[in-house]
Amino acid sequence: MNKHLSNGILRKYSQSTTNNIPKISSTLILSRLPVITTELSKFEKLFYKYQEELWRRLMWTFPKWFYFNQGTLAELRYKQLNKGSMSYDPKILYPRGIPDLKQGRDRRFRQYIKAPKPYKEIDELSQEQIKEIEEQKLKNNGEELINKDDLTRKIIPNQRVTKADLNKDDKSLERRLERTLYLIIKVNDSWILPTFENEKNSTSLHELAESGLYKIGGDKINYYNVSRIPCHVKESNNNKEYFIKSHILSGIYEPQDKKNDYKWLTKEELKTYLPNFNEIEHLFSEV
Amino acid sequence: MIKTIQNKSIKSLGKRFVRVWADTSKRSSSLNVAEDIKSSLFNEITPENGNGAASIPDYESKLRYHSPIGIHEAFEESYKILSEDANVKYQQLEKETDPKKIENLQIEAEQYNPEVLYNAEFNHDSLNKTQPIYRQLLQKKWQDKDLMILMQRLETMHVIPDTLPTLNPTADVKIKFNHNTDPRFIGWIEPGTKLPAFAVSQPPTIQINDFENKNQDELYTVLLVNPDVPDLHANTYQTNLHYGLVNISLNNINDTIKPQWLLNNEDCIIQDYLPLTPFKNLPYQRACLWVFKQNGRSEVTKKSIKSRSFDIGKFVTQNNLNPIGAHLWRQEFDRSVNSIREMYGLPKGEVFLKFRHDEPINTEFLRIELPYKFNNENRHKYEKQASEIEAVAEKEHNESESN
Amino acid sequence: MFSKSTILNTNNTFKVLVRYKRTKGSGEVNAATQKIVNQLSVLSASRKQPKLLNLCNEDLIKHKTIMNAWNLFKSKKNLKREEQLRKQYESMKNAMEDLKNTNKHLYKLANSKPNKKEVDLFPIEMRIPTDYPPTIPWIYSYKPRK
Repeated sequence: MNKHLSNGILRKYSQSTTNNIPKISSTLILSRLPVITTELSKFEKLFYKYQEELWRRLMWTFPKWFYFNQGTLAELRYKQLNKGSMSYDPKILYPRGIPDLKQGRDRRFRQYIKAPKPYKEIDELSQEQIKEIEEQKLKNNGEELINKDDLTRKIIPNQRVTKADLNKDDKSLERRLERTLYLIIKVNDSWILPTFENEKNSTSLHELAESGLYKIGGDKINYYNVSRIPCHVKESNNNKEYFIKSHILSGIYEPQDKKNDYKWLTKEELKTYLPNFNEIEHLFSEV
Repeated sequence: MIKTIQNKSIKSLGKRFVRVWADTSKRSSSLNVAEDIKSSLFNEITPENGNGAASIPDYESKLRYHSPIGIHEAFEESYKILSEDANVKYQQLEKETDPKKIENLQIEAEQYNPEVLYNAEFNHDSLNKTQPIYRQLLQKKWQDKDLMILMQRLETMHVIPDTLPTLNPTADVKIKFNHNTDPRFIGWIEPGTKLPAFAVSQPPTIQINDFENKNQDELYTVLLVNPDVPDLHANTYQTNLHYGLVNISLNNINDTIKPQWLLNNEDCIIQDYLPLTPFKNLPYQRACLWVFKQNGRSEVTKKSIKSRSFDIGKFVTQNNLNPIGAHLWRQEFDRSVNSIREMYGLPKGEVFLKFRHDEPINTEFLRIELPYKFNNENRHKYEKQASEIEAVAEKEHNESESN
Repeated sequence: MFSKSTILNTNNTFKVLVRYKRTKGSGEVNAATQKIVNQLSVLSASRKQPKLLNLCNEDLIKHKTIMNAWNLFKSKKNLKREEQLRKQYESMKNAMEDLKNTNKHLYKLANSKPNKKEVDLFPIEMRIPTDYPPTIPWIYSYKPRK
């Protein structure tokens, strides 16, 4: 706060003495929002696991009779998959204590239900079958053979780590899907956020940023301007840079001048590139 | 700096982080739990492998108990997070000089320690109250339940304002009668309980848990009053003092007044203990025990009070006493009252009429001695007197009619 | 209306009680009723509820410790976020104050609301983060409207 206050005082002071009109420019903070959810910390993962286990433990017994009619083939398949727990015999010493059986469930524990599927999970396969699948994977460029038209096929989610991550491609919009990426460009051998000078001091800040972006990056950019209000001001030698925030939604940044280098970086990576990072650190998202 | 100490029972937690709470060089050993509990607190509970919960005594129950899945892994990670936080607090503590902030930091550094929480939850009778964190936890526990019970009883049974105008308790007062052998009356007494006379025949053991007391010796006064003694002349009730103790020095460790201790410190007693012995057919009587802190350690003049009749309000203002806690039990006439009266050398108990009449008893009209009482000895006398009075009245009535 | 004679007649008849095979109360209900019974039994808690979570002393303390750590973790995270939001607000306010003093015209434009004709609406292309990425993580083939 003190910094801002002193800035204000300095500003007034300089205005009254030197009558120069300051050069106004818009700086664009163009961000790519995260595509996937953030990576959880170890503690969060363990906490959510524990909470889920409590929730499962306190669930009611699965009403099998409602979903599988007695004597049907579906019930038979269900029974083959879900073997009921052992019966209670007072003469037996149970290593896990006396069971409390109701409707085929030991009510002291959570209930594991297996639904009939057209494929088998890894823990249900024998060693030979696993070997066979792995051989198939090798033949098929490391991917499992799955009929993509089959509606009951096994669901395998896409990898959270993309090719751009593996190739360490700074220019790709597909890297670090779980983080917000920011565009920086290289001008005169130094990395900066794209800045556009307002020559006539008449175009509004956000329009200036838009036209400037199209000028340096081509017009194949679909972007959303968060607000017309600048989120930060940087003053230096009668120059005033107003920061405008935008999100890129689709499209691609293609430098019109091939010499101009650019990068899409996360907040932590920006630290090494931008000289005045500490001043504008709060403008970038933690996620 | 706080040393990392290798401890066998918490080896499983990894060696990287600072184990502030395992350090015994600077912290009191009372902040740790017993070894067997420690091992089942910091290791996974697996009864199949013989690592059952140490707090479960018998083999069968140990075998039957199963922890929720994932609790231990989540606990280990939580312990790391919390102890790192505590480490920061301990480092701040080394630089701090303000005593009030020091105590707050001491509390903050230990408030999440699972061992401290275990002790406060399950060993609360044997806590070391010199530790600020234990005082804080005990106070919290007391405020959550016992304080509310006490205030409810004091208000519904009108101890407030019948004895003193009001009370803002800052101390937990507990009483028990150690002479009892009946399991119903052995433990600490809940405020407002109705007790038979034999259960209160000996002076009580009083524990005063003063949460404002910070490891200092303070002087306390204890008064036991009965505001339900019938005063027939004034057609009201008066207050009697049944037990009076002054200038009792207590601290956080030595916080209990025992009758044995008083035998050697008789100058503390301003009025000997006399149990309440309610008369037959009277409503219940309240034994109100008030505990006061003597302001600025000033001693109350030891002047033994001769008469039982007592004005508690006057006594409190005269001696500048600060009420910090109270307790209460109730008594009715029961079969043991007569024997207790004999034990304390009191005359035989009086028997009242079953109902209290709207109008006061006109002692002049009755021309009989007060207190108006019937017992087997004087019953005859009173009946005779009453019949004489009736005869006189009838005679006068007849005469006036004939005239 | 019954005539007197009919009543007399009924009184005179013998009731012959014969024992047949039991039909009622043998536990069999018709299919429709059975279906309703099944449906209701799904909703009812009887015999389906698990044993209460009766934690032993150590586990109770473990649970409390986990919740303490979670609350601490959450509060630290929230404090950090609040601090960042406060800074962002201050910096925005400062920038606007500055703009007001520097250039009144730009200040007015920055404060203006978009016209209805201008496409400044919230974009429908924006998506909520999911646990796993879509098969095509990014759409490059965007063409500007003309």
